Amino acid sequence: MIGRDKHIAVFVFLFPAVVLYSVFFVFPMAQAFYVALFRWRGLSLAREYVGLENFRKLLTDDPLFWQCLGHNLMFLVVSLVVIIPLGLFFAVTLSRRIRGAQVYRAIYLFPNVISVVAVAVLWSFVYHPTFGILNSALKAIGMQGPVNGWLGDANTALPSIIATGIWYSLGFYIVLLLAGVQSIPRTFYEAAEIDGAGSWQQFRHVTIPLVWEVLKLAVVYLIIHTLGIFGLVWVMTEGGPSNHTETLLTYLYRLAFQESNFGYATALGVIVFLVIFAISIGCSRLMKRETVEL
Amino acid sequence: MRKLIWLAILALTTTIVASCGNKQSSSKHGVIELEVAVFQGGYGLDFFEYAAREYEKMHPNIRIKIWGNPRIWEQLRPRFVAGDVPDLTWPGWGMDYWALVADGKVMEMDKYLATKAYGQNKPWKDTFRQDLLKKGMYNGHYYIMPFNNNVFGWWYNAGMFEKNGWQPPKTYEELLVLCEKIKKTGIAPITYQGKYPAYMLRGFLIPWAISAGGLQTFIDAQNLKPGAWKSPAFLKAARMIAELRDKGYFQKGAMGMDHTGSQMEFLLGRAAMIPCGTWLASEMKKQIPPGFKMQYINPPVLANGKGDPTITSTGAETWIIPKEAKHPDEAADFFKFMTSIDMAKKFVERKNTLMAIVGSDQCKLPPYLVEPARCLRNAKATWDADFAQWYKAMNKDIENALAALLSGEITPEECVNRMEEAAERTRKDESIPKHKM
Repeated sequence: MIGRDKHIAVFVFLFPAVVLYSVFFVFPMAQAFYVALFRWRGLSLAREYVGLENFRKLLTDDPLFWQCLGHNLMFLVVSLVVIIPLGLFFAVTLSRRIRGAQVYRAIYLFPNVISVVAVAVLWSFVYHPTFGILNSALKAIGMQGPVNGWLGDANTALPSIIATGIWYSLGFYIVLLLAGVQSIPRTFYEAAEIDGAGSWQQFRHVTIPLVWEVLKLAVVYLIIHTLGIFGLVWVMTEGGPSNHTETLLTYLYRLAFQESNFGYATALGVIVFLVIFAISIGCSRLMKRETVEL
Repeated sequence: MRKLIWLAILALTTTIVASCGNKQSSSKHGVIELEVAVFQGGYGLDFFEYAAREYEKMHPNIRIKIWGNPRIWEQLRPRFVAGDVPDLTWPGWGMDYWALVADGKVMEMDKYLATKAYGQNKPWKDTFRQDLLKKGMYNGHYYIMPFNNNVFGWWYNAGMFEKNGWQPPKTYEELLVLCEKIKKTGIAPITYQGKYPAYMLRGFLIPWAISAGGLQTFIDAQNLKPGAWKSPAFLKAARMIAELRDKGYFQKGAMGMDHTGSQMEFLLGRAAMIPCGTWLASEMKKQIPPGFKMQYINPPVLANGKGDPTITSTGAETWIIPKEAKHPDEAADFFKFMTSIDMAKKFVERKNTLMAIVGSDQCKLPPYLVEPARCLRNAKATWDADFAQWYKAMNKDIENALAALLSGEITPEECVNRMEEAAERTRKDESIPKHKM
């Protein structure tokens, strides 16, 4: 009797959450796949079924889509190359009982607790053509920054945003990896040391295998974050100058909410979902290893 | 345990019941309630509230509810989809008006425009500036209604010009001479709102294309006539921009500035001229330094250009009555009242903007509006970048091409070719409803 009651209780208490989750998350997601098959302005119920036309146009007849994808992949690759090694380095360093490790950890995480919009505005000032500290600093040492500011120049705009993105998210990955590194029992290192392993070998043969799962998680997170980047780009450049920083989601936003091309934008959303899904699965497959049980 | 379950169910049902019972109560007997949704920008809501109270005095059976929001189009979008719309609205710059018209969501205004105007013995239609009223036409019918309007041109730092004995340039040739003089003093001759190329399109490219080729050149371009965007006139305009760029007459770094940033440079006297609409003074009200004097001119034209030198650019803030409005007749009448000559003059005086009503500038104009109003009155013809509203994707491509030209990435030839390609894509795309001027 009590067992059945418990079941009912579980059901009753979970029910609202399941309903909310389905109504506000699962259903709209599923609906997106359907809406992507229509030509729809998103301002009335008038819509026209066009089959896979939106997808065809995106993939074969829209150079801007590929340009955006390129920018996002650039974002992803640079972030991977910089954040993962740097994050791991700081995580290992901070896990040693050095003085002030707590303080450093707080400092690294700090950018992550500021809102993206504030970060974007802050860095827009740094990159500003006339009063930005970056150009002023360069001037002070006799060099010349981009005349139109770092965000106004076709060549520097995207790298500048990527740099800000890395500054913003590095702390998060440090803390994530640090948690992984700290969960490795000290005894493993002691045993390795007795066997004569140096610090590089300890890192290579003890730390890496044991944080591998966390590392994998970090990579998947990075994929999701960089392919789904929006706020930073929108506030800093709105995709400009001349589309040089346009990303998949800023393009999607423009299509849906400024150009009233809702069906097409939804198709783009579906493709972004598939791209993130595929790359994430691909990466975790590539990183598959025998899980080491602690 | 049982108790807990019942408690949970109770809590759940109460929430559902409570949220369902929140529907607005229907209007009282005989009293019609109008909902007016207004973009809450620089003009605030107070004038519309005032107009509503005045109107209610004349029509005791009508209650008008005014509400507003700075991003009102975001709130209205789902309501348009659902068909639960306000009776009258100014949905703001973020709303895609023409998509609404294309989807049949906007009330046709023809029959209302034929009725007698408030305070003048002629049809309501004839009280408007016809150029602005016609902008809202589609397939021969009126849909989008102009309210207040702006004039777009150049502003110069009048104090600086006086001090240095400079004359505001009437022609492009005078402009080149003047820019050289200004540059020598270390001040940037011209700045612009680089992050938003719409300003440079309206301030440089289009006026100069019109000057070089006549107004028809621009009408052809708006009508997507093949080759119009890369016509000799547009190429000439692009070359003029490149000339100013190469001679260093544009402020360094302008391409990286947003609108308020570059306007600030102008107000601080670091640049002598800037393209902008008549909203400049109110937009920068808090930042205008004491003693600062600025004055309006139409963009300097080619001395031997085909286009009439008096041609002026004007656009309007626009209102619509949604097709599914519950009380369209009353809403139209209230809007007619708001655009009556008396109310229009009051709006001009209180809100420092011009109105689309003929004769509404015959009042005490704020100092910054005197010259734009004069230019508009004397203009043989007017224009506005309507294509930017009609074809948003094409507009974005055209703006990008112009931005690339200004930052020196591409040549004038490449610039106009890119613009023509953008027009070609829109021309070919049958899913985009086409407009004709």
